[in-house]
Amino acid sequence: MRPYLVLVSGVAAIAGIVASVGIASAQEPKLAPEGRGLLPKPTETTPEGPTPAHPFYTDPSGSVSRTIFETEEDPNFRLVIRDFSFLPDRQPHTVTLPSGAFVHLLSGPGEISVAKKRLELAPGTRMAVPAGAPIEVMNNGEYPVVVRALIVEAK
Amino acid sequence: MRPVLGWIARLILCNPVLMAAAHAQVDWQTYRHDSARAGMQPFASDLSNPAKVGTLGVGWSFPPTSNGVGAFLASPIVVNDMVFIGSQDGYFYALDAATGQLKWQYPPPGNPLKGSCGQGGNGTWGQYGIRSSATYAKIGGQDAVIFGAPDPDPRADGGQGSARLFALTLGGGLIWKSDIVAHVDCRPGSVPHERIAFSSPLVLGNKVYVGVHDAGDDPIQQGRVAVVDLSSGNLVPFPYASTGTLGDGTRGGGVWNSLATDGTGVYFTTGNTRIPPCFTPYNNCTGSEPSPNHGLSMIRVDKETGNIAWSFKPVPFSRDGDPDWAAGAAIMSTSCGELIASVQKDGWSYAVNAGNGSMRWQFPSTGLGTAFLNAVHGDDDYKRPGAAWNDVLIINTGGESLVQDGIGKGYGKLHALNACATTEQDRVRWIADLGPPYSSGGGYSVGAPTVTGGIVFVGTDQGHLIVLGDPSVVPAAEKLCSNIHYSPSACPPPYVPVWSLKPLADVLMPDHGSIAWLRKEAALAKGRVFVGTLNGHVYMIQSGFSDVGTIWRYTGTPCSGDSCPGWQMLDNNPKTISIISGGDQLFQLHNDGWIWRYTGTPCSGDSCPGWQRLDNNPKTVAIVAGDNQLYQLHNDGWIWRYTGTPCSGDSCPGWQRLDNNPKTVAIAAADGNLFQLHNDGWIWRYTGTPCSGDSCPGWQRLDNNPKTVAIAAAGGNLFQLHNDGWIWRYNGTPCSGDSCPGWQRLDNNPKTVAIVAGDNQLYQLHNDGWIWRYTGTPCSGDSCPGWQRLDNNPTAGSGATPARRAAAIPARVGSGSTITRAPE
Repeated sequence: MRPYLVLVSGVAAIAGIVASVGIASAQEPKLAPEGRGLLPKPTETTPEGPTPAHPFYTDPSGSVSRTIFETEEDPNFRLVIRDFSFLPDRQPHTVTLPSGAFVHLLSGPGEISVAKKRLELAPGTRMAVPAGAPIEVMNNGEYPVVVRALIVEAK
Repeated sequence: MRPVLGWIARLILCNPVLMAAAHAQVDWQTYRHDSARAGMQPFASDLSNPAKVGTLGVGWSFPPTSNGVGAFLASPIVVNDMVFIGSQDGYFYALDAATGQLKWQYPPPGNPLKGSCGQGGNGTWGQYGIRSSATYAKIGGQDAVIFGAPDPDPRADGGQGSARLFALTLGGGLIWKSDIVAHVDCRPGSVPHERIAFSSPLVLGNKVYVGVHDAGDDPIQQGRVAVVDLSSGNLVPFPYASTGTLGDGTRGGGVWNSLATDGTGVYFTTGNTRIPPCFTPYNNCTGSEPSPNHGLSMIRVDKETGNIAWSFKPVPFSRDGDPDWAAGAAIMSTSCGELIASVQKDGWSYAVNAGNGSMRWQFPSTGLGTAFLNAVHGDDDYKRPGAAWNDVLIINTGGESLVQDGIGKGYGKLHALNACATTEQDRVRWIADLGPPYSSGGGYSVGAPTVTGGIVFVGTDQGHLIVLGDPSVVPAAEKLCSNIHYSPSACPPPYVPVWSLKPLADVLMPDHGSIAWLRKEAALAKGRVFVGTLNGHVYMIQSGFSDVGTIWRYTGTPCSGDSCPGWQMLDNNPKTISIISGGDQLFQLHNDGWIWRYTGTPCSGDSCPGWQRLDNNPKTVAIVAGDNQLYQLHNDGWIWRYTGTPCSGDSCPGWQRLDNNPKTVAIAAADGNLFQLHNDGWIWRYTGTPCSGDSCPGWQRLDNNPKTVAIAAAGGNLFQLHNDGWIWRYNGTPCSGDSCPGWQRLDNNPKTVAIVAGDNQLYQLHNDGWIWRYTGTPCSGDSCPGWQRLDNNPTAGSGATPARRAAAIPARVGSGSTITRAPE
């Protein structure tokens, strides 16, 4: 009900102003198009826009990941920062890293098991993962769970 | 529910008695257009016409000189064919909207609205000048503008910087100065340093409302709303305080933005409260929470009593790392009801129901639980209000990747959000990445967007005015994943592919000054765009630069403006980027590399029998002619001479290669001589032996001054233009550096942006579009008898885009009594 009171009072106020100055224009401004409704979605054939610097991609194993940073400067080891994205599909997904890593949950929460040990992790949680220990993630939420791994690999 | 504001607009259009009010609506009467602060121009104009926005260009500049006045941190308003804007230099300017001419300034020169207090970063306690965008009002039947500023009058707390509102007539007369509404005490150890720097006054009924905030939170002041009587400027009691009780010494919740109203409630947002701020992981924070605490809130108050009707506060005191609501509230009249929308500095955007303050949606929709609480809520840079285009909110916000990718991923981008979407998968409508080259891509890279008919305007920190078209009015061609860090082809649920927008137009401000900063906007009024830059210029941008490529022949009668009988049109193909003449020949170069020779029949368009095609190589970037010779320069530095056989492509026998040095950026020719300019300022003359590379005996070096930006040749003379506007003529002695006797100075006007020459004539183009012919007397400055003015069409000198500006430089070539021009 209230919006219509606003309408009436608004129109009355405008009418009062106009009547007080006693003018009217011969040339009518026209309304521009309004922004209503949703757009049709882009199709599969719609070309892609600008690619982000470090996009997630799906590897042959089906896991979704991206490499944020990688250095080859040291002759003995390689430092890699890699994000793993686990979709909200209520299915278990396992990632095994060949080297020791320090992992950091960027978004979630998620149900995570490291070396078969179940953990309840909230975003921001950090933990060390031994080399070869399987990281199993079940995402029962609505949004992807993203885990960032700082990996130190021997060359 | 029928959208109320749209309903009102239609009603007005059906009733001629209400038409005058509608005409006022085509103005831009306050920050964000009107008191809804939606940033939307509802009426159609060239700016809502997708076919016309591509022809936008700079129509005028204030001041017209390259040196600006003080930085414009406020945004312009447009009323009754006048532009009003205050500057950091402490002056309020009134300009003619059609010409940019200064009509008056307040106060007169010599007594700016700045306090004496130099405390705070860059004196922001008292010396911040005018940052408050003005608002139009009727005061006692008189048209007026109102803005806030510090008052240097010693009666205003000693003139230290205490601020008040100023109401002026549209003729510049003072109606009233309000009571002081923000106090500064600059004495050592004192704390008060209130400001009304960023709040544009809100006029509602017989009251004027303005937000009060601090400078730099050192320490935070008590956030409040000051209200004065519209007719007198006297303070009206208004008990609202963001924290504690008004005047009780409690601190926090500054009102940093412009209040909005739907006619009943007054809406605004507030800043932080916690001292010191509390940062992640939020486990070592000090300070106690004031009570009540309406900091970090979106608030509706009663317009009369100041009582809080509702307060929406997503980030609690325990997470107060200074994520102010720097952006104000935008009232959205949508198909799903009246919503109040804004973004916090932490990158989360919200829409709440105007009636009760309940959250309608959050973006990204993390909820307000653990994931949200543990995220970063700090002093980050999402500070600009959104533009509300009916059901669509266009806003600089963090985006879907905000939590996982960090705070900065939304910088340099605009998101369009469907306010009435019933699922989060439909929330994102489109995304526009306006990072480099349009902006720096940093936190202050884009300003507050404005919109009309689905055409969006936003300024950037690199001085670009970017124009975007909603896909409902301009089909989009590309897609992104709604979470930008997944590719569209691998966009996992719940994210979805959305439209990716490219600019419809990109207009570069001639001074390259930021038109973004904290919350600057482009005002859209009567089919024109008005912006102020941090480099101290106000620009008017308008459509109608569609005569790009029009070629005119000078008939011998100096004149000015668009209706100029002294010029005959020979062609008007928008592809034309350069024209030159040699002997009796006129040539033009198209942007696709095609070269044409004029055969003597004026015509227009692609099918134009008056022009013969000589080449069509897309590498061609410049052509020159001299003594019946025609040359072209390729984008790889190769120089070619035309041998008389029209042809096309790389294997073109009609052209002989003379050099292939990638340093070459320009060529000039006259009277059998060919010259080239390198990107290091070196100038070379061709001696007649084709060659290639740096060790090329076929070229003799004449100068090596890195200031050189252009060369021209005619009548046995070679001229060069320096980047400071100095023009020099070669007298036959090769030399180098600034003290070079081989060159005679002819002029030193910093306005000069281009020179051209033909036969025995030398011409220069100024950045205001004026064209001058050299009469033979070297001189300097504006009053220079050695140059005769031939035209003063501003479309010649003001480059609407870098490409257009670049095109303007080689486009003007003289040939004896005939010169031609190609207005951009």
